[in-house]
Amino acid sequence: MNMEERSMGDIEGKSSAELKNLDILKLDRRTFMKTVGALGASAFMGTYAADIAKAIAETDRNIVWLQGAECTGCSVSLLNAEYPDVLQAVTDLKVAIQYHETLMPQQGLFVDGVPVEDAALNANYALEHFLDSGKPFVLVVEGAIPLGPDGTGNYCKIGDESFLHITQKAAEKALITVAAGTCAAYGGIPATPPNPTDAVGLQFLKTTKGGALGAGYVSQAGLPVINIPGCPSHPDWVLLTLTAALLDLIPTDFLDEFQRPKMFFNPDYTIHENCPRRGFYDMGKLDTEYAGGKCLWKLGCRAMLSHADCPTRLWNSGTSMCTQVGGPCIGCVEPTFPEGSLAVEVEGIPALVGVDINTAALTATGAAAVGVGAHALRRIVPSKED
Amino acid sequence: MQKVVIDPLTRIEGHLRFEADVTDGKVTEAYSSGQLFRGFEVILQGRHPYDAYHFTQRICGVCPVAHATASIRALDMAYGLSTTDIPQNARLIRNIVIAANTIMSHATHFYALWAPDLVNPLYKQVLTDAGAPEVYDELAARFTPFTGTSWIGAVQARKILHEIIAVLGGKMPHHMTFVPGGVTVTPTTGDIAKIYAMWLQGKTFVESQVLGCSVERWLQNKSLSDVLAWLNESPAHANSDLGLLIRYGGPVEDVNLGLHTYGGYSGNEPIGLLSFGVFYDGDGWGWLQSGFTDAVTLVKEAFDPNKITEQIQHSWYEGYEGGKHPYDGVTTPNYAPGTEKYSFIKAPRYDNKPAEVGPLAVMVNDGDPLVVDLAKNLGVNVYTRTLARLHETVRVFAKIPEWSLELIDNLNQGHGAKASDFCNNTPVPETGDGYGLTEAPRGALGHWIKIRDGKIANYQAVVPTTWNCSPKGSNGYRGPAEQAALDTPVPDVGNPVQLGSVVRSFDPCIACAVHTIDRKTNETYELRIV
Repeated sequence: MNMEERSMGDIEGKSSAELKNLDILKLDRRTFMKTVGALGASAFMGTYAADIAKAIAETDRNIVWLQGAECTGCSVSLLNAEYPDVLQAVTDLKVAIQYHETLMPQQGLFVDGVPVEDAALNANYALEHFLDSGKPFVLVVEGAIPLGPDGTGNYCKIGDESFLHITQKAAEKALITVAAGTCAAYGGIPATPPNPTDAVGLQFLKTTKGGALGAGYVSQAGLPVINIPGCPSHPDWVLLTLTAALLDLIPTDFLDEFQRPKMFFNPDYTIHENCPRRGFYDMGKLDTEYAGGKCLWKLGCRAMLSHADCPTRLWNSGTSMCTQVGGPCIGCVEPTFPEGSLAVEVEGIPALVGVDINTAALTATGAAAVGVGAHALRRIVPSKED
Repeated sequence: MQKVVIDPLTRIEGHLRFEADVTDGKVTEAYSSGQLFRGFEVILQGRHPYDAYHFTQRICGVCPVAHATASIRALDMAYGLSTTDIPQNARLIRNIVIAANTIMSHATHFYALWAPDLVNPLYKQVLTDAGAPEVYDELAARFTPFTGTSWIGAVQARKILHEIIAVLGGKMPHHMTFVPGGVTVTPTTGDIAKIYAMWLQGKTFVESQVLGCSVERWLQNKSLSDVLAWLNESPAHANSDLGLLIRYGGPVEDVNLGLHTYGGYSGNEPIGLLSFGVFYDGDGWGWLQSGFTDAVTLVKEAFDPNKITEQIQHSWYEGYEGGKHPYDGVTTPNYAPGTEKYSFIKAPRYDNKPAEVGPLAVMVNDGDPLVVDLAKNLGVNVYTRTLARLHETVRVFAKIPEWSLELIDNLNQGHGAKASDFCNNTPVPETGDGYGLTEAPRGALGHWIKIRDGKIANYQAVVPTTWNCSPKGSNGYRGPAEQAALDTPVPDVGNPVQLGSVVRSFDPCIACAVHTIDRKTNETYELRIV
């Protein structure tokens, strides 16, 4: 398949059953939960299981999950998924996870320098064997890719091979390639200046396109890398994107300029808009000390600069989110993360939009103006650190 | 002699290469080698001190809370705050967060990372040959990844612990609530009641699946003989996940996997059990106490942080001989594969001795009667190391309601109305030095910070896996995992499951274990902290 076949026109031509599948991804958390509540979780998944299972069975879909310069936080986060949880995804959706270093029973094995040729025992062999099989798969990468030292990639080695090489090899054959977390997407914390390991993301270094796979990379399905940033990535974002990918339901306008799914990282929406503390901002009640219970802007909050649905989706089975517990947003879904001093008020925005945030915040109109200004600024701020 | 290399050693955090020489079916030499390095300490230089809290959590997504704790305690000290300067509510909240993540990490390690080894095809052969194929079937039914009943139960139940942290910290992994001087969250009694309800839900899993008895009943076990009596007390005990492990893992049933026969120490080289202590206890720190105990004689001495040094003779660094205290540490790269150097991991030593860190060390140094008795009777090995981890899990689990109720009492008495009830807001000092010592789920963790001109001038982390999976030190003594690997049976070099079990029993976290270098400038980082 190619990009032409993935136009919106093609989506419009899909059967109603297929559109329903697409709708799963478009449901916001509340609607999703309501539907799940009405049907019961397994019945809900069961509604689509026949189509999904058939589609996957026919195409022999698989997941290969690689981990580079990472902390395993995105995998741990994935295990926190709720509806669907990972087990539903694997059992109900019949997804075959062919390789995942943290979860697989095998390990890499060499005897006297020779790989043990048994895919049931040797993780490296299992991966090689699978990649050579020609079976279609979705590649998920967690963690940044170090290019150092001297372009060798040896700062991260797995089975005596650089992670850089392993990733490039797998990406070449992948039907769809997904970056889980900000490190894999944009380099994240390891790529923070002075970037001691020359770490990059799959197709970006911060806001600059390129990365480990190159700016021109497209997967076998004709798609660039799909970035699911976040530190960690939210399990819903990852699982719902994977489901869409496995079902060929990724439309052409799915991604924003930083290749994030717009349904989760809406370019016209920041965390600030639905922040549980937004009312305090509108009233100009801005905390200057921690545990004050009001708007966190002065404490370095980046909600105004960050595009994600955290306030409506919430984290850990809908329990809470950062600003709700008084933690200023650190902008972990943005390509520039971690940028500047996280605990210090982001400067320059009020000046750039021509208003003083302290007074602007006192009126709804002023607040809206600041919000719009902040969004426009998102493209300016990164260049400060480059 | 055959050379067996496990690379990657899967089902751990990060990338570890473990090499072993195998002669006549036993390990005769071992090399532990870290294969990833990211450079956190360099990245932190020049940043706002509080950034250390956010950045160092990202060292490890399995135990971010431990790094949060070490960094915030180091910051508290550097900001001039003592334990009693931290509001009591904040100490209780920090305790609950640390406890919940310790339990989550232990549950994940036992069920998702370590126990799948029990389902290895080699054990099927062993148990079938011994006339007990039904034991293998039972292990497989419970512990096979993705389909085992206990695996599924645990992966679902562990979420509850992260939800407890999310109530206080917003999200997990990588929570948001610790800040120098206290916490950012101002919970209501309703929030704490919610935590208690979540805890009760977790208790159901612990009691029905893990223990087969109440938490309180398990904690009455103070010795190996108590445990044997507990097994006989009820089929529910004997058939619980823990009961099954105790019976078939070690010398209880006639047919067993012999986990007590390897992964220990010969005593030919010095080896200790080291812990830094963890959890606020009233006005102090160390509900679980610190200490250094000889791993063979089990003689304990008081912990002295000045006895910590890091050695680099066999690590890919250069610049000094012998050892340096973290205060004076130097990190100069020398990536030289094929020489006597073989790892990105340094070799930390206590009083020039290698030391095992982790739950077994914590329990022994805390004087826990059950784990001390297990170590006396059965020694230190894969079996006792794993049982100590599960026992610590239950002990920590039982503390959550205690701290929660204390917090509710405070709130009900009106001690939760002001910001200062949760955070002693303190400005960033121009100059300040501090260190934070704590216990990560997988062992002793220390962070050292030096603030100059209000910025981080230097940051150093000495982490659990650096201790456990260290290469040889300057005096040639092997690291703990290397020592523990010696004499491990490897009946099939193509499937060295026992060797993997030995290393995994330390719960390695390699993302943590690797120090920092700057290859571009080849700059030497002087660390003279405190």
